[in-house]
Amino acid sequence: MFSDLSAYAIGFEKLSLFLLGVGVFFSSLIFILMIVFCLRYRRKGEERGGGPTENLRLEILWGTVPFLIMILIFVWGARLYMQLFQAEDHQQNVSVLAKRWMWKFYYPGGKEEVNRLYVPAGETTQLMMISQDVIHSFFVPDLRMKKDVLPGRYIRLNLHPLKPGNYPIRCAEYCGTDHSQMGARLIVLPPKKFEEWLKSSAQPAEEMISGRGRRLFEKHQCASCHREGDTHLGPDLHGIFGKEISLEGGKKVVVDEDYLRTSILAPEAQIHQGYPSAMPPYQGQFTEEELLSLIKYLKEGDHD
Amino acid sequence: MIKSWLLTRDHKKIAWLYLGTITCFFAIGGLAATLMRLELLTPTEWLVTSDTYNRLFTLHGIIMVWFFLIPSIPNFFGNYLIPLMIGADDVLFPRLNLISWYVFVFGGAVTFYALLRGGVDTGWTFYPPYSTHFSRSFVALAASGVLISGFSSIFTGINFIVTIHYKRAEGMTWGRLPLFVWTHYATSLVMLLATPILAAVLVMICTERIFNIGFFDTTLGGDPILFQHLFWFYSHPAVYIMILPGMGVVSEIVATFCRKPIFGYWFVVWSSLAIALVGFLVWGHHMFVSGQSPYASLIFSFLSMAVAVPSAIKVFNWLATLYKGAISFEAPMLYGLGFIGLFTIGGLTGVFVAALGFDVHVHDTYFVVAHFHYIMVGGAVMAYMGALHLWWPKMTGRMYPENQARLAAVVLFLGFNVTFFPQFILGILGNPRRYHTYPPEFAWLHQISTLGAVLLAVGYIYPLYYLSRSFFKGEKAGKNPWQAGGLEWTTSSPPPEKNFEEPVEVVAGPYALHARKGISP
Repeated sequence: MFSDLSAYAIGFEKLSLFLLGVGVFFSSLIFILMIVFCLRYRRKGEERGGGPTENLRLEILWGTVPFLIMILIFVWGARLYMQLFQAEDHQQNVSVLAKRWMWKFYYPGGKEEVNRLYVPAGETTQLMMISQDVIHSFFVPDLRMKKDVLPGRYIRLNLHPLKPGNYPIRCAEYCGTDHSQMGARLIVLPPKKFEEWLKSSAQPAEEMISGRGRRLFEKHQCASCHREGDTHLGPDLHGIFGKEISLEGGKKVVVDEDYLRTSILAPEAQIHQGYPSAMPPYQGQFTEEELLSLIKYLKEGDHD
Repeated sequence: MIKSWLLTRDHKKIAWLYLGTITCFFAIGGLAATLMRLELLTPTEWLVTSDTYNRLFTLHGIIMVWFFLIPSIPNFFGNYLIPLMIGADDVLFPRLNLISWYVFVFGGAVTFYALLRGGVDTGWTFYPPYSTHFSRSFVALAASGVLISGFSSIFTGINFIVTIHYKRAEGMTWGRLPLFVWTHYATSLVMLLATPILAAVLVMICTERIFNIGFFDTTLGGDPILFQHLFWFYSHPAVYIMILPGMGVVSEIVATFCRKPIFGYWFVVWSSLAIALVGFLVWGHHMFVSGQSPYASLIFSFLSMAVAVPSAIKVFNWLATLYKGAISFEAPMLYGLGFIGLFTIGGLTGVFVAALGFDVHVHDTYFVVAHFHYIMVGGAVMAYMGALHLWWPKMTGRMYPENQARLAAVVLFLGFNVTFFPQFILGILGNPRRYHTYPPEFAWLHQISTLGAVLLAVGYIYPLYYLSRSFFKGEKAGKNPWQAGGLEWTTSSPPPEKNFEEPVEVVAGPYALHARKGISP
């Protein structure tokens, strides 16, 4: 029942034990007092009840003691929770596409898996998750963590499993007919084995996700404006990923997956400084997987 | 005869109308729960398909929340008792009171029609984009029914607030109000202030679903998280609409069967108001893993902890009332003690899930299901059953059979725990809620839970039998069978049309036996 699969899981178990202790203490206190009073002050005849009807000191006592314990619980719970939001250097970046009722995983280098997430033990893997339809929730009980996967924006979650093994992944946000069947497996491999797995039996480059991205890029003639070298219609996109650029109005942003996604779907929202607002919005014209493939292509280039 | 009921402006008759309606809804919601528990006997599908199962839990949630729990204690007992407890002949707006019932029935009928047509499969929470673009069920119709019934809540809330302000008898000062009235005052404030937000959000859902106008759809410029904020801004305070009246009932029960005033009256009063107020500021604890800002989560977590303090104060004050009381254990008291125990567990696990790092694992699992059933069934429904027995002699003029009622209370208590305690463990083990099928290693816990549900069903059906029987054949009750304080016990059982034969003047606090001038109970 106890999990030591990750630092977070271990932290969770400690917090849980503390909470259980607090719960058992207060419920025993209340139940015992209740039972003792009920036995001791059982009505015998037709008498009325007596005893005090107010006591300020007691009120202060049973107001502040629970409050102090709750502050402790709050701080403890908050510190554990904030671990999930720490910027961590990650060795792997896996894109996750949730759709009714399956999970798809895309690796750097072009490998894809359905309902099987391979990660190396002892390293940090960052998931970049998005839903193609309704809200889902990525839940790994053994890691003691979950995160909702939303349509329309990338949600990031770091996994850092310590031990190799095979663990369930479940969908925790109700998503329709086969919600309870929307499971996957988290397969944690020793780092070396993971490397081997990552390199093994890759599909032909054309079939891989970035290859599909390149084909989309060509089909939609993106390069007619986004040309290599100097162009005044749109910025050159080769190697733009990860760079800091200036927007119209002077704000600076780093070109990441979210920026690229927004710039494809609603380009007018964040115009690169020095370029006209000439690009049509592509909202509704690409599936999430196509968007992902375009972004992968822009990020990683073509793997041939 | 029928006309005199359907056109009545008597708060007591309107209360009976509510009792009839909500009992029907409780039966429907309970039937859905029974079917779900039966289906969950096996890890795989055996009784109903996934689509049916999804409709069942949606139906169970919608009916139990909006058509049973929210109206249960306020609209039946509140309606019946508030005027009696404050020494009034009726509520301030008797016609509005009747309209409120009609609106409620109409809303219920619309929702029920949606269910008959094939049901809704979104869960009672109506989360978009599932509810707006993906569900192929009767979402808009059911949402309209809920929307309509919301107006009933608002009308009732207004009516109670003005009644408590303007209809109190001579000498009934704020400090002499029974705690039942205070909790209904707090509840009414929440009904009045929160329900309009529910109305707004349901209209938005229907607008997006029918006219494709974007509020929540990202491709139309909306955000699904916005829905969750608006929905929980109502639905979390709604939890207090359900539990506060129960706390009021338990205060009356404890005072009655200890034969003494409630310990720390003003602390109990203020804790009700504090719960109602702070309850408005904790909605984000439903969204710790939704993608809301972690800093928002920190604030919501802290405030959720804070709201547990007044609840703890109430529990300790009830315990202190038992101290040196003259305690007897008739059925209402058994329900009252059951409430205190189960509410304690529900409240403590509520503190657990308010702790951020803990919630990340148990969120949307059976742990949460168990937690809120401890509050709503272990708390609110236990209080409802306790109230039914406590005031049954007042409302019908006849006693219920005591031993049968005690037996039913014990069966209900055991059945409840056997049903819901295993669900805490299921949640910790990682069984998400709203799962039609589940991994086979969870089967034994689900089977225990289903077994408990059978007991629970007996605990509900049995009182239906002996109470209806006692309605006709029970022993005559007299004015005050419990030797309780409180104005309602100074008039005949059942009370006459205008409640009191002689004008009421109050001369002492709420739990004194001789609080009413010139008349001993």
